[in-house]
Amino acid sequence: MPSFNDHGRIPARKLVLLALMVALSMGLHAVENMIPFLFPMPGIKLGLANIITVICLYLFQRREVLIMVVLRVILVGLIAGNFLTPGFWISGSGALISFLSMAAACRFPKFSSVGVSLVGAAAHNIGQLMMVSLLMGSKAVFYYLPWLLAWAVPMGLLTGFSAKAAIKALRNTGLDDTIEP
Amino acid sequence: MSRHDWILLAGMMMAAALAFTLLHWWGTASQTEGLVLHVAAPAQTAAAGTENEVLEGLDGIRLEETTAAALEGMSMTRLEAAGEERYWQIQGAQGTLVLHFEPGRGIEILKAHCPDQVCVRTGFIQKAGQSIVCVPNEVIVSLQTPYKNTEKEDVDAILQ
Ligand SMILES: [Zn+2]
Repeated sequence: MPSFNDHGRIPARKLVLLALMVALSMGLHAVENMIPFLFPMPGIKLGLANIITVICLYLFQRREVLIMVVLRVILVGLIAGNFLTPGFWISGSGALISFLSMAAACRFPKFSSVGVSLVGAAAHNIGQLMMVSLLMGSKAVFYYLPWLLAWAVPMGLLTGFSAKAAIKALRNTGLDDTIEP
Repeated sequence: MSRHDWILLAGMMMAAALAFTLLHWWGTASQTEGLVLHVAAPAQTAAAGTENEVLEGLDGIRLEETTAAALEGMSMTRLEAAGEERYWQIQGAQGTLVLHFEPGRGIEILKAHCPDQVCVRTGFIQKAGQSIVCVPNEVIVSLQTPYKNTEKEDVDAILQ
């Protein structure tokens, strides 16, 4: 397995970076919980933590990024005190669906990190809306779909350009040499 | 940004524009006639005790204590015809919500025991398909076109 060294362990430097990324994404996730809602619409979360997901998709393996996303969602749920409540499932499904679609978009080299982020932002909003609809047993919330799609454009651009700058900076430090096998 | 990013960006904006257009057609202003209220409620409601804070400043208002099931299917046309303001108090998953009907403006969640207050800030809804959602309380209030009822009325009219 390329991500593990000869002894079957994750190299210490990589482990530290992974942990750092989880902590960063938790910070961003917590910050967006504190920001008052920009629009009075359900499921509208900024999706700031997606910045970290995008960066990691370019630096680590998909499997590792998935573990990070799941860890982040659970840890933030525990810290925010909404673990296993509707709010937890909604933000969790948004995070997971956006990860899955970004991981898929990453495989097309024709998309840059901005394109990948746009896909992620749209999936994030649609995923949250689907979970709201599922939890409450009502399709009435899809009334908000156009607003959520429109909102995904500026949000995707913001996460995309942030991630692009961060990836470039990380590559310049040469840190990623130690990450990639 | 690569060329494909731009294509994706344009595609997303077109999808949003298309969705807005479809929504506008579907819920045109003429459809305020004959709408019914749809209220989705949580399986488990909060224990009593959150009313006091929610009901603050509502003195002198005739508040009707009711349930989501009782409000389900209420005719907006009839409410408009009656022409008086109504206030209903229902229980959500976390606490009390106060629904408010005002003739000519529609339905709003006036007050709610929830941390984000998204539902309260949504304001009035009046057109078909519009909805107010309170995620923490697991409550959805929306306005629906009663297709089944109109069909039934048509059949009744023919039979008579
Ligand atoms: Zn609310």
